[in-house]
Amino acid sequence: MTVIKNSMFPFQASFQHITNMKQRFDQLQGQLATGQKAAKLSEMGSSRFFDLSMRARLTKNASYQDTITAVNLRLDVLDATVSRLDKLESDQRTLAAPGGYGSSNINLTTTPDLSLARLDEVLDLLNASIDGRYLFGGSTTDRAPVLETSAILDGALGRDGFRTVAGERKLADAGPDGLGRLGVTTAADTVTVAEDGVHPFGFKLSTLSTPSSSIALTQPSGSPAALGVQFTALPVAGETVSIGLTMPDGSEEVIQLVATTGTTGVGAFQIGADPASTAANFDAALQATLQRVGETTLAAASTYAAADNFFNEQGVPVLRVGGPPFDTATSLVAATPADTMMWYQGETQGIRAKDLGRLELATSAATTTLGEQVPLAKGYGFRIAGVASGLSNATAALAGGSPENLNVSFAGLPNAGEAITVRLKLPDGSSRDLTLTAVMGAPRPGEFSIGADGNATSANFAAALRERLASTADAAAGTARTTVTAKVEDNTTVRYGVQANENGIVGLIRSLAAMAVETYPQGDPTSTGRFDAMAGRQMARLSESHNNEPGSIEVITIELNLAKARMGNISERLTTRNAQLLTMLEEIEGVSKEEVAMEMLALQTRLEASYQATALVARLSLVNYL
Amino acid sequence: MGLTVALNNALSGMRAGQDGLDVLSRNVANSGTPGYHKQSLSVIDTLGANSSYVRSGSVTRAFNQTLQNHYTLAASDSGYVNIRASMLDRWQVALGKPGEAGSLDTAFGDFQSAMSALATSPDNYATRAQAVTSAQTLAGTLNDLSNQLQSLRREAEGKMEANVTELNQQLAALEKINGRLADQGLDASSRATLMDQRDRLVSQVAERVDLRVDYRSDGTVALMTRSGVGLLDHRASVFEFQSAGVIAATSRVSTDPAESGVGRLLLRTPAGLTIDVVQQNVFRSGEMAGLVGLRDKTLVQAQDQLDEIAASLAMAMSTVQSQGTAVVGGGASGLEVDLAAIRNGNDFVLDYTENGTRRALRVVRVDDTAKLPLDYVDARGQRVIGLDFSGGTASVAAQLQAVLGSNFAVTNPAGDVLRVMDDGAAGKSDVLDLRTRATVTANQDAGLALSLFVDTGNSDFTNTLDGDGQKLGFAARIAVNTGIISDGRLMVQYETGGSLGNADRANYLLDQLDSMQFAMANGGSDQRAAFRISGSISELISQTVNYQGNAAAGAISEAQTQELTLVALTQRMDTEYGVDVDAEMARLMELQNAFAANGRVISVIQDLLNQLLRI
Repeated sequence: MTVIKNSMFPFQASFQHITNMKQRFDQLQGQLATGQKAAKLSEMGSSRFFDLSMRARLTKNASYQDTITAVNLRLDVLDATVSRLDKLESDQRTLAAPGGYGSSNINLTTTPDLSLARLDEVLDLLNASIDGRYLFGGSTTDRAPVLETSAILDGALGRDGFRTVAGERKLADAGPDGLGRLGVTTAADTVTVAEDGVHPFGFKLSTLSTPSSSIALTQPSGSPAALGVQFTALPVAGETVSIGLTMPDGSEEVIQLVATTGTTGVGAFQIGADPASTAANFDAALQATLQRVGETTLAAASTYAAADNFFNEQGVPVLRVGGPPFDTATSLVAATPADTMMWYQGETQGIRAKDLGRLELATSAATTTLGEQVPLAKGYGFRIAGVASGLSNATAALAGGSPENLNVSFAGLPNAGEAITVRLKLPDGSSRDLTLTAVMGAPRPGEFSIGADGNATSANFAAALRERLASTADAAAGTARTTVTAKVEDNTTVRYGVQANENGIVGLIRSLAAMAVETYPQGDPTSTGRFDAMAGRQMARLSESHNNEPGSIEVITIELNLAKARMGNISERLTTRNAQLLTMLEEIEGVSKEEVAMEMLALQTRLEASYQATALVARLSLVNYL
Repeated sequence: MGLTVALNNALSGMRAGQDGLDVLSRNVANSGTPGYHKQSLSVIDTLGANSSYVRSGSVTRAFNQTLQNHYTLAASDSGYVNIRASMLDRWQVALGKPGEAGSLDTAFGDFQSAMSALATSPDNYATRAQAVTSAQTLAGTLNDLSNQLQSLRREAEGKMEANVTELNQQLAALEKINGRLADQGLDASSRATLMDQRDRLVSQVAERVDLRVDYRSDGTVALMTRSGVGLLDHRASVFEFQSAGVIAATSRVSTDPAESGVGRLLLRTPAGLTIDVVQQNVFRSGEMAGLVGLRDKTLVQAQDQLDEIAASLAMAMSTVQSQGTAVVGGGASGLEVDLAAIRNGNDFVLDYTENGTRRALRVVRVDDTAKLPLDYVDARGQRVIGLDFSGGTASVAAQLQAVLGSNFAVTNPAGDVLRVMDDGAAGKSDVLDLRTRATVTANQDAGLALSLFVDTGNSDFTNTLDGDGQKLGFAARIAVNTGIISDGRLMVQYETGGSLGNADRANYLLDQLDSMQFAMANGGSDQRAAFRISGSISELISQTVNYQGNAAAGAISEAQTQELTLVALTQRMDTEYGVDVDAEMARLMELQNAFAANGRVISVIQDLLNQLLRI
């Protein structure tokens, strides 16, 4: 006999009802225990979809909040560090002042030591890590962004540190005879001062003046520049000759020589018997003065220039003097990690907005030349990759060398609507096309106006190209802030990257390193002079007037705080929204305990009644009464 | 008239009483037996030569053909919905509740959170490991769900096979009963027992297969399905099940028996005709129809949705999108894009307006020319076409030109570059966007995309349509790239030696998860009406979970409704066929009294006869 399904008659419907009620009772018990309306997907009914989307939203919000917590922690550390950097900057600014030697020249001894200690602290701060993450290297967070003080200053493993590089720069600036790469020659009544070559070292002649009518001046000119001082007659005592010199760090220094009749002191020359002997005296006095300025101001400027080149900022390579020999060096070369300690190990931008992305633009007559800046350094600056010209009466060609030059010559006038495209290659391998279209009348961005002749057109073209280059460089440079971002809401991203080679921080490091390597021995006659020059430069460089420049410590602080404030708002919003979502979810998923309890009571009553009735019916049988 | 007549009458009364007791005792004894129909005895007064005595008539078995037909119908439907409800109930439990540990949406949410943490701290070993682990969990969840689905399908097939054996036994038993019932010489009570057995067997068959039952006057039955295929007339048909091996996600039913990856169900009629029951759609209801539907449609569709989710996940991570560059020339403007990176199954998308209507066209590279022509509208309403790339880009341009028509100019200016230009001054058409979507080729130095999820053998998922199509059953095979498992830094380092602090890749992947849109393609013809999911991955998942939950809830509620129908029917059957013990007891007293009365008559007659004899 096969098994019969028990739904077949005779079948007690009341049993089925009781079973159903029992099941419902169990279900209610489960709801009471878990507080959840549904134990299975199918039981959730129409709220299933809302439940799913709300849960997806909650998960997302939770991950945003995790992000905010993590980023907030980083911002707190950054804030503390940057504040300390700001304090160090102001402390260092007041450390030394020109003429402030202290009692028994104590400051001459303590300044380098104090600066060194501060440099130590700054580098330590920059290498701050939280949970293994370095904060001052942009997105390169997995290694310390800056080297240790001793490695930076003294070098290691055969690679040169700042002391060596600065020493080489001093040699290069001073020149073999200590005259700051100037040559002073006298022929009869004329003294000629000339730079010894085209290079960035030593004094650069900039101005020349005298009130005297008996002195004929030849203003600095030529390349390399030269100037002449001719004594046409004997000058009157007290008359002066002023020579303006540009220092390697860009500062200006004027040396003034006074004509005297008596014994000459510093900065004076004796009026001789005739113009020729006066010229000879002038020559000697000038050489002495140059030597003195060379040992003090030039030395200080040289150290700062070396610091500017060694501690490179965003978009600029590390440069050092090409040599040996250094005292006759004629160029800066890009330092390589094989020969020089690279102080900064973090992420950096290959382009900076400041100098057209290491391109140089020159116009001469009808030709505009766009050239790559020397020295070429891998990873820095635009490269000129190609040109496509549709201009009539004009030639555009690459010179084909390295560094590359692009020459655009306007033999005649191009037609309106014709265009030229210059292709630049970025350090990351991508390229940008700059297209300039010739137009009549006022040009808009991306256009240049056709001038009256080739020369005017060339000048217009150069101006338009400069403007396009500047905006392209600006766009390509980016800022350190964008190197690290965090998505804190669906459409909100906060940027909080900081790099140790941002202007403000690198400026502080340069000053500290320069002050740390420059020492002032008590017996050295140049000590006080150098101290004055160094202190003056430091005060100028660390002055509060730089606060509004991009990348200054103050700007970094403000930008980070803005990011933090923004995240604070979002976090609050997320918390509120989460609370709302949870309440809604509770309404969907949750079950009211009171309701369940009431239903259970009602069900219990019904179940008991059913049991009773069933038992009663079962007993009601005629069989019992026979 | 005489005493003997009275004696005869009394004796006939006693005999009838005994017969009544016989039937009554059978009723009482079987009052609890399922499928027992109550019997009743008709008593006939018979006029003899000079007497009017009583004799037992036939034993009648309670039977109502209309009710029985209703019951057969309800039994089939109940078999159908019950098997669906029980299978889908198990599937929904496997799918889990939203937010429950182990459910698909939780696994995806965890993966997203881990990626978001990775974007915040790419340099942290623990976050990278967490991201890889959560990717593995997600892939594992999909594998697991897919395996559960396939094991449900296997179970459905196993149950079909078991049902076939039972059906054959039952039909054979019915055939035998039919033979005995046809024998008119059978006594009434045996007939009743046989008919009880017959009805039991019919309802058992009805539970599995939907039936139309023909009750013949001689008590035999003929069975045919509602679709009209005869199962039993004088002789029974035989079901046969031909297994096609173990069912996997790639095993699909096909009209071509050679291509079908699932077991075949055949019906061999006594006349020697063989019918493929599934292909001919013989079953409309009953457990077998439920099982076939589950095996070939419902669970397959669930698998399709899982496959779509798995494929979308893999593609969101591994797709490199490159935007076309603008081209102007001859008054027309357009875009051009390099097709070199497009792999088999990858595509490029063209957005354009024609006669003022904005349209999008997705062009898929199809290497298997058997799949061409391919032209359908996907779940988001986007037109998708497949093109053969084997003839080079020039041939692709020509094929695309044919599709787009004369309002566009499609050319191959150089190399693998495809250029689409509008009609310029005529202004009827505009080319808005042209972009390729190619699968990344390496883990590093090939862009921000990453082949995080891969197919078997660590091979890239390119969504190729070759063979069965790579998507089919991908949910069962999806795995995390072993290269990434062994070196979690690949989650971050998109360039060899790149900084581990760079969050570009993590951000890109996270963004792809949110923004990349997918739409289910058109399946076979039988799936045209199927629910097709579309949207971002998170939307695909919630649509799938919601849809599957709905399907389970629907099946369960149908089963409950059907149960109510069945309860109502069995209650009626109980009233009609059931044994009322009280009534039987009352009848027993009646019989007892009648018997006593008859006995009394006999004893009086005996007294009278004795007195006569003593005279």
